[in-house]
Amino acid sequence: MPSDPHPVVRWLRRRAENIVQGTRGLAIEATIVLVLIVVAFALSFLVVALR
Amino acid sequence: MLLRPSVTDLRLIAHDLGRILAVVAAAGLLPLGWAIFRGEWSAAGWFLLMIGTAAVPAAAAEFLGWGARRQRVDWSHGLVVVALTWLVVPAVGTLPLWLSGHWGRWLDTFFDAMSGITTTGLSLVQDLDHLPESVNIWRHTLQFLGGQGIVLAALTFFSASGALSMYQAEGREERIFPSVISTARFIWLVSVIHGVVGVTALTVDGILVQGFEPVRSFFHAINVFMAAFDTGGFTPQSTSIAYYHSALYEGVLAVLMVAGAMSFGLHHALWNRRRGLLRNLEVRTILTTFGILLAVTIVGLGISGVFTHAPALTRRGLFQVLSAHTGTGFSTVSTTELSRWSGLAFVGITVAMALGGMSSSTAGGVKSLRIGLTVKAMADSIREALLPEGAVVPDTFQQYGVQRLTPRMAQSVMAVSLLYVGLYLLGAGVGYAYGYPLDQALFESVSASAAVGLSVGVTAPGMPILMELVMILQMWVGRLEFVAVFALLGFMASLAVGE
Amino acid sequence: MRTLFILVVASFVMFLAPGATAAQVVDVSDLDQNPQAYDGQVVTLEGELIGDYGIRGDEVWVQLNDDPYIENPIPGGGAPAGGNQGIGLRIPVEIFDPEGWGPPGSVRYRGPLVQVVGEFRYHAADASGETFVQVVDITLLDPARPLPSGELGTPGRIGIALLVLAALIFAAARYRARPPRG
Repeated sequence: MPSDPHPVVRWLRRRAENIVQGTRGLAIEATIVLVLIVVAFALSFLVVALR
Repeated sequence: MLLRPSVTDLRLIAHDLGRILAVVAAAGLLPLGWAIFRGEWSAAGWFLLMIGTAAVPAAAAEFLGWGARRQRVDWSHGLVVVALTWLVVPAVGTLPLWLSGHWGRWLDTFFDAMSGITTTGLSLVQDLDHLPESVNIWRHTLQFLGGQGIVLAALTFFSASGALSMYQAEGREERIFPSVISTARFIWLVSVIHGVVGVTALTVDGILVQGFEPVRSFFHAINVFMAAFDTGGFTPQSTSIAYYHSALYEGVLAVLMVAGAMSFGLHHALWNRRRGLLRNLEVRTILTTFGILLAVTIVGLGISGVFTHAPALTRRGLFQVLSAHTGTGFSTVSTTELSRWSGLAFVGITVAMALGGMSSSTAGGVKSLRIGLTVKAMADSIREALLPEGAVVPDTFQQYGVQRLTPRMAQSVMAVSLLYVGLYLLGAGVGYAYGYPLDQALFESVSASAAVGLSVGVTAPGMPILMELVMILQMWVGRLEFVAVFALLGFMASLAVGE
Repeated sequence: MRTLFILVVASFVMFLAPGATAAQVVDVSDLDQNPQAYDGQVVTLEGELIGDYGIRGDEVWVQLNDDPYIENPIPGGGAPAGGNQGIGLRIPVEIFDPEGWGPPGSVRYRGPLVQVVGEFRYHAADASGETFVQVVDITLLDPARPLPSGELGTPGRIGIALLVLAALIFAAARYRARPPRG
């Protein structure tokens, strides 16, 4: 049976997992902003063109 | 019949406040360290005084041990501690502000400290551009403490019974994990990861794109990160985010503002790849309101002719709507210019501020979940009236799974939403009575009550004292979402007339 | 290229008709109140360079304030007199002289006082909507001067005394709470 990893190793693994998760969260937030920029630009373009 | 609180109750409250002051003392080390690093010796003295003032009662609370034999978990006790915390912490936090001489009267420093801790961002500071850097860091640290929930910060370090009531009293309904402590740790984890990435991105951008000196770039980054992620809105320079003249910088801040206005429950769901988030009532509500208000503002600005080029309109319009809806209060246009945004643009920004971000986030305002539930409750009533008798209207909604909208829940949601509208009108009425134009008075009132911080110039040094007091009240009550404040009032009444 | 063109045109205008530039001496608040009226106009401003010199390739961005603090900043003993009033400047690097001017204004320095001549740009289309003054000429009126950094003073001494007191109380609390021996 494999022995339990050292607590330090476990801690490091958990943190590494958190960093991956956090990066995923940030990527989604950045995508939201990018989508907003595209939507806002399309709107602005229309408004300025129609005015 | 009201029961008069016992001496034990008062001792418990004093003990908890002492522990929260220990957090204030610890937080003061950050600006103190910066003052020493940058040779701001006067400011270092002010911070030593503040840390000492907070540390003595904190140590006394430990010595007296009044909280050691806590016997029962009392809901109202937790609420009272939170309401008092949000008065005591800004009061202690005014010390360095007042000693700096950059505020006209003591009440102005209390206004700013309250604005900081409630993550509002309105300010009465004078000559901000010559303010010591360490004092600037303290203003922003107050926003960070307030956004994270200072009581939550205390809970992370000192486990306490009554934790749940205190946690919820700070405006967070949901627990992500079964225990409040592990929820608190998750909130810190999210903040630390955003902090490391955000500060690094802003510092690098500051050095490479804006050409700032590295130390100054880090100084700006750490301040605006705290203000953006905690949807605070203070900035280290008088011209707010317009100071940076950088679309990239604004982009990074936009990501941080979005993150700040998201509930920590949603962060947890995103981190763990939970599917079906777009079905959540709150996510749908905020996306819908954001889309509508963005369109309203951009059309308004386009019609008014303030902007004649699409890229400029996109950049300014989107940033201002984002800043308003997330309750941040950053600005990329001057106060004077913002006050000229009339018609649809004014409506878009003001309504965005009033609605606010998600519940259990650092944003203020009515909050999207309440808006969504209010609309659902109203739509259900209309449907019931239109459908034939006996037809069943489903009273369920999606929010991390299927939930039931009970009549009691609908009632409570509508009551709080109504209280917010009342709070907005209160400030607008006072401002109008003092002779400010109604639109400006309303704008500023909503900005204070919803913890936003955008200003059209009403908040200025020398403003009428009564109006300043009302705005302080609005920030305090609005951030705590009424309940804790009502509990404190009830507690005071029971002290006075209880048996 | 554009900067050079503006520089040439502005110098020409100034040479031919000094009265024209004199008529355009403005405050930041004038520009803030009537931006559309001044858009594209050559204006003259006086004030303090403040914050940071943002050196970006061939141009430098810096803020110019013309509020009451340019003579008496609060850390230098000035009294509070309202908020700051400033606008961004975009200065061609050829006329940027940080050694001669000294550091920009902050808590450590009253920044250099300068007179600038430049074109006011309101939501400039070619600068993704920035509002600023494209500087063509800058004259140093008074270089930066250091402000006192102060000392720990009485607040600091009281603070240290309170911290010592807090440490003693905390130590006493720990001593009392120690587990009984045996």
